[in-house]
Amino acid sequence: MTDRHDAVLRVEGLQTQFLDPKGPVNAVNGVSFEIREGETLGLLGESGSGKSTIGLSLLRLLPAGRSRIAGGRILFGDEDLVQASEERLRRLRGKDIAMIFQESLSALNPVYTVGEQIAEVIRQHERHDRRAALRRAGEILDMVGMPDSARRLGEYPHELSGGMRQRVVIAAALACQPKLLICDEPTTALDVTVQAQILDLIADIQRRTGMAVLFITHDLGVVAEVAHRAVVLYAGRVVEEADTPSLLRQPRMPYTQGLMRSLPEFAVGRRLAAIPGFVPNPRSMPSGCAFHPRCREARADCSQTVPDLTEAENGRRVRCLRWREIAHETERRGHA
Amino acid sequence: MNVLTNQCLTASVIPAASRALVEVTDLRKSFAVGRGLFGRPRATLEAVSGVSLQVFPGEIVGLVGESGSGKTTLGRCVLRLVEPTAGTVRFDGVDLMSLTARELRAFRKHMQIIFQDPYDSINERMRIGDLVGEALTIHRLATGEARRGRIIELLEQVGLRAEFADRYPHTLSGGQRQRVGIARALAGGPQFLVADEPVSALDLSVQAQILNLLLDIRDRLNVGMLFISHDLSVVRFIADRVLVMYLGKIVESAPADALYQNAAHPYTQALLSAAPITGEGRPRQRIRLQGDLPSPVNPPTGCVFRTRCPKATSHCAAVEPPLRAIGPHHYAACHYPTASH
Repeated sequence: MTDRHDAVLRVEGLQTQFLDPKGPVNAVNGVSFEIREGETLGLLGESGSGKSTIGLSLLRLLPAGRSRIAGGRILFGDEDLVQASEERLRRLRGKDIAMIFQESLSALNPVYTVGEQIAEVIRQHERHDRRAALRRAGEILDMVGMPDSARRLGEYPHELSGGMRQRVVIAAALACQPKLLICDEPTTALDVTVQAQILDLIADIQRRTGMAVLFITHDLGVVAEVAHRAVVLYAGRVVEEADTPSLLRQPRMPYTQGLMRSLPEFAVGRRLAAIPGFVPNPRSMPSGCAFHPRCREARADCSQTVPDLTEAENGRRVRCLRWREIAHETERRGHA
Repeated sequence: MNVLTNQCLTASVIPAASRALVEVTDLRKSFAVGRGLFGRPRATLEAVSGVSLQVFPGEIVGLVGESGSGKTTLGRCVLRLVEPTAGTVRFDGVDLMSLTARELRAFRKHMQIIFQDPYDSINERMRIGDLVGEALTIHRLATGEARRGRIIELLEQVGLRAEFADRYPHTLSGGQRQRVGIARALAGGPQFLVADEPVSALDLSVQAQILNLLLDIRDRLNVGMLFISHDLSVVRFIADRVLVMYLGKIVESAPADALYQNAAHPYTQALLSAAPITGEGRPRQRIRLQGDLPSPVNPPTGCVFRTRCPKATSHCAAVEPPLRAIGPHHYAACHYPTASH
């Protein structure tokens, strides 16, 4: 584990519930991780894993009355955001912590120009007159590689392509040089050639500013491309954590192994070794390990005991009763 | 040039003796955009401009392109779900363009489409069994007990238990929904399927299940398939031959392995280098395209890709490169293709 002092963000035992007439449902069930300065942490999960709920929980942007943080701490520096006042959060959002989402169009206001929207973010957090803020907006658009930035300042969101709009959203997010950028599937709606531009851009800005990045995605390829370290989520829990190269080379948790085998690029022969079944409903979670009904390594005790997230080599963490056995078997097979 | 194009896309990967199931020749589709004061269109957008292709029985042809490439429009024109502006589509020797609306409806049982989200187009209040059996009724293929039996057979064919017949759509997961979409497409006993981004909305673990299922169906029923996707790794896995589309045109065509190992067109190379790769060891030459797709209302002169192409010269602006052979069964529309064969 790292020294707690260089962690920009430390999440401890986060529990987020969806409130519903039949009672609360745990969408995020005791999730812990941390991100250091200059680091990109990939938060990898399929639908129902709780990855987006974690992102929203961090900034306390959960829909009021429909979900709530039921436990845990979100330490930004020394401050626990779970306890912070609404006023304090308003000041942090967009300034010290920024967030970008998949659908850039909904993040932009259709009736204001690109320049006005970025300038607005700047003026909320910094003392600038309108003209100075607009000038700064132009500089930031240059920084995010917007071609013809001076003209773009006066354009409306609908006049831009998907890739350009995502650049504007990133520009607005970066306007106040945040210490932490939370990205929730920011490239999922984009074409691969544009996605590559945006991923390069985020990495480039990180190199220059040292910001920490939490990158939420369902895409293993994107994790491989951007993340230094990755946390794999399944059914609201962390099931594995490792530095990205180790995770991809030697996944320890059978779920992560199954995801890797599902990748068409690793197909052996003419069929993929798919994971059977589908993600469980949070209302009717399987007993024991939530993954056991789909796991080809499962034994009888996997349906009885909820495995702990245990420390493995090199700061890795794995949630599986059998991970040591499986690792030995994999190694033996590798040598044979 | 048409003659050349047609020769180029004749897939001799397949034994010469077998006849193409679907043969598309110089297909075009334009749309009027931005109507003016008196309803006169201000401009036309050519979404598909002169595409020829063939699909053989039991063959999966991958069609790769980014948004705005025209791949979805092309897929629908091939089935005449969207009326092409020009060109011909022959299905097992029958000229689809010559069919009347009524004949076309009857013909639909031979050729079907699988959508990204089958639930965009179906009635949520119908039971799964009736959704799957709709085609059986429309084409008067089965009634009563026989219909029920055939529905169960179709459900089993896509890996769903018989009990699903009595369920409603909202109780299904994304993967199960797509299985229902596939069962619906198979109901009429088609010889040809257009699969339009069939796994794009699915989680990775479920995507693998559906890809396996589509391969099983091809093997079992020997259907030909046009598999449309933006995902290069998915297409490489499933397709026998791959067509790369950019701004309404096919820019490269090759057997799947040849395309991925020896991409000749700069656009294909850029696409491959942009796709995030999970594996290690492959030294990656990064080609980063600048900017976005040009507007199809006002496409570039000469080569459609030249405005974003690192290799472009003045020749590319003046002369449109035809699709020509650069290797065995490998064709590229580029004045300066990478030679590697």
